[in-house]
Amino acid sequence: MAHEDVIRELQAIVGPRWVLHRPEDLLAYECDGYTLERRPPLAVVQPDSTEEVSRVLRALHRRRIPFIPRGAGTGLSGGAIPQGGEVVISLTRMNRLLEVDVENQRAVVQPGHVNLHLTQKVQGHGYYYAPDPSSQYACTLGGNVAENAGGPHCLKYGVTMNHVLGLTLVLPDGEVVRLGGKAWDYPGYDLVGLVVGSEGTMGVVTEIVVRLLRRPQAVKTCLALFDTVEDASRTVSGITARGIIPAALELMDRLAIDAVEKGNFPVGYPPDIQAVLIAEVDGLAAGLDDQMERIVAVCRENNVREVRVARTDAERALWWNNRKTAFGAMGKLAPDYYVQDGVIPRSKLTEVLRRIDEISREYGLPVANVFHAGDGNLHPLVLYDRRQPGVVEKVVKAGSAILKACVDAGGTISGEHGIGIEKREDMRLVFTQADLDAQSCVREVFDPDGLANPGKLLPSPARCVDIRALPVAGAAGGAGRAG
Amino acid sequence: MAAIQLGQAALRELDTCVHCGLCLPACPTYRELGQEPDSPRGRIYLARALFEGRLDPRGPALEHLDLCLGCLACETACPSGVHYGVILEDVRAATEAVRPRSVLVRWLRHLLLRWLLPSPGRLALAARLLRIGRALRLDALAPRHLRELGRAAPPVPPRPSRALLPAELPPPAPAAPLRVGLLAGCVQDVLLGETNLSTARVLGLYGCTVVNPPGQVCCGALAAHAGDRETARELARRNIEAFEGVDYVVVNAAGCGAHMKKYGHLLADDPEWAVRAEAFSRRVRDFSELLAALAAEGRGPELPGVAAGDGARPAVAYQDACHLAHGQGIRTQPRALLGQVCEVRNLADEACCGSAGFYNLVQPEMATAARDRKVEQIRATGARTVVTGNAGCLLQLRAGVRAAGLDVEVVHIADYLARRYDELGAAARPAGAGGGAQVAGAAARRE
Repeated sequence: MAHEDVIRELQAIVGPRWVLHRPEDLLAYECDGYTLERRPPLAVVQPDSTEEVSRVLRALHRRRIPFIPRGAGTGLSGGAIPQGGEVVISLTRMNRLLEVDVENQRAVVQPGHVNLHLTQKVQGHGYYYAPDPSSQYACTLGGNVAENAGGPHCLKYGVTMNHVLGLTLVLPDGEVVRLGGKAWDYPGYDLVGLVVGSEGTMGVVTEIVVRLLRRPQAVKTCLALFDTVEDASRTVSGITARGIIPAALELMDRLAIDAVEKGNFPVGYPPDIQAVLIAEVDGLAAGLDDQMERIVAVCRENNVREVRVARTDAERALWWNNRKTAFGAMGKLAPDYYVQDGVIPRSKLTEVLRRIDEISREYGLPVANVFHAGDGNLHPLVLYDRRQPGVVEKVVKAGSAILKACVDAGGTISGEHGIGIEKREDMRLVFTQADLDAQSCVREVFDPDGLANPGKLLPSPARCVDIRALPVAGAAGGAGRAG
Repeated sequence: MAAIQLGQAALRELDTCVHCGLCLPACPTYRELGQEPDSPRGRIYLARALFEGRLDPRGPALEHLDLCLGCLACETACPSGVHYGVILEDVRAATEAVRPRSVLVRWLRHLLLRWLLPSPGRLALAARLLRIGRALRLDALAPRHLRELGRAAPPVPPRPSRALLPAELPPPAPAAPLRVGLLAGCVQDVLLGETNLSTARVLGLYGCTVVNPPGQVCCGALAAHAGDRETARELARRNIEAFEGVDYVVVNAAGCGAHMKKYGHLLADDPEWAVRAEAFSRRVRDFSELLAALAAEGRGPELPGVAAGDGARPAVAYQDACHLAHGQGIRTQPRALLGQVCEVRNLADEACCGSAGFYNLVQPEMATAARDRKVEQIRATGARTVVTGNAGCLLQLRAGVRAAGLDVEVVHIADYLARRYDELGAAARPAGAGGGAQVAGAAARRE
């Protein structure tokens, strides 16, 4: 085999057990949560320390072999999918919680640490880690950093970027650098902010300093059932218009409800309601009842059929489990789904949903909607069966049409899932060629050889070298740049 | 490359998996190795590739399926409710014929699954040989993990439990008694027969007439999990026949109960047996499941002197057997029963202890890793007694506790309840108490 020597070298670095290279062992790494494209990697290597990651990258760099960092592979935009020939750097063994500094509200973790496990480990001290993607049972903090993951509570608390203080990053040539640190701010360029959300295109993150938040004194959650999605959407705008900042505002439409009710956590929603809204407030116990009453009042103004406030933690947990398993439960409705991640101004919710419904009918593909309504972050799930001839192309087109509708409404193409391979070309909907070239230049500062997760995030060709060759005053955004 | 054949049910389950990955952290082998082919999602992916002919079943792909404990924790975690166990069993059955196995292994499998387990007489004979072997200290010749397991097992009783139980054992104070058949089991019958006797006694206190039908055999779970579906089906038919005419079939081994609740599925395509099998499955109850239901109707022993908050209540840790918690969704019932007589402490998680049928015999490394994790959790509870509802877990945990030098006893829930009821001087409720007639009625309606 042509790659025998690299396999041998990787085995020498991490131990033979932690290098997968037989076709049978590689197959499961063909795709992540995004399943439209699939190709096996060259090998999978599981280092155990920053030092090992550095040695692995050095070995690959010497041979100009590209690599892909990968956590639990729950990503939804294909950020951890090989395009052919890469070595997957699997960070599942690097899952330790290295340090908890409760007094200063921070912790240091390795990238393979599961998101939810961090909260479970610090909750005894009265703290938690705020970003809570719906896949938090399984997804890793390294993956969260790569994709700048969000979650239902990001409406109030912000996304991953707002909770990362420092990073240890191994550059594609094996050099180890530290960005940020334990302080809440550092002078100079915000390189942490740059790497968070860079989807593994700048190297491999091996340590993460995160902020811990004090658990709110009290939480109140209500569930509102509506006869139309429009009424639910108007309720969302109504709540924020009154100056209430809920901890979470989540919406599911009829098809999404069908899926979760067939899943592992059925709530028992009436079969004829068209939308479910979950609203949660948290903070000091005093005043929370008042806020919840105001939310209930807004629901009533918008023809809510029924609104319940959770009486017990168990009830609240059931509602959230039901909501958080919505993507996974789609298997109950169709063999495959394709989830979009569009963002729109909240005020355009009703009109964009109507457009999505049109697109669904145009392409003859059912679309279920789950959304972080408070942030205007939509997740239309296009349902299909890949065995139908020609359906995949249709699905991709419908997905693009949905994103275009979001952009047309003044929004953008990703709220929390990243671009991956899925939306590379859609980047052109929101950026000019000049913007994209500039982003390529930034990327090449970290990865001049193009080895770090190649072909992700930026549309191709988008190479910094082109822009360098331009005359200084050249109009980089001109039509001639498109090729 | 030859594709493997899978049944409609397994294909439906394959289609239901959307590759989301939420099952990964629930899987003991993934937690240990962090490798996708050894995760539920990865195994489902490999199963599909085997079915589509993308992978050769004679290649290493099956190693990953073999490393699966079959604990079904992934079924609990799966948002889409994929029945992973159906896929696993089907793949094992479909690949059995093409597997590269040595003649010796084939012969041993045949001996165990088709000759020994299905025959109570041969099992009793084997048990007797085991007694002699132990007396002569022949177990010193076995590999370490087997020796550890062997030492954890109690002395082999001279007679199997079914020989000690009468064909019918009426309750001490009959109040419209329920007739329940007791599955004696195969291994349990000869090695842990005491548990069957305790089960029968406790059932009596809950107003049950315990029936011990002579024709009953091993439930067939081990054969089904090992890919020998034909043997499993034959054993199912014999049990269905043997347990005719009881209100419930009570099982005190989690794996057997989970399997017998699926006889309907196992024989679904057998026109002669499908309906009977389905009806049989509906009558199967785990020991704790039936008792908790009876207790909720006011049946069960009177327990003097166990007031809530009584400081004298001993602390026990309860270990969820996988095939109870994940396989049958039974978590609250055993805790409720134990809660009558002791303080119940939970382990840190529901992960498998590594016993998993005869997994601990064939995958000692992974089984021991899972076991040692569990023992640490037991230590953390501070309880001196661990209660579980499955013979396999019992032996595995005993071996683990012993290897760790922990002073903790591991007891089956039936034995523990019987002992506590004795200690507390529990008496059977007099005739007329409780709502027995309702239960019997409910059972009759279910038919």
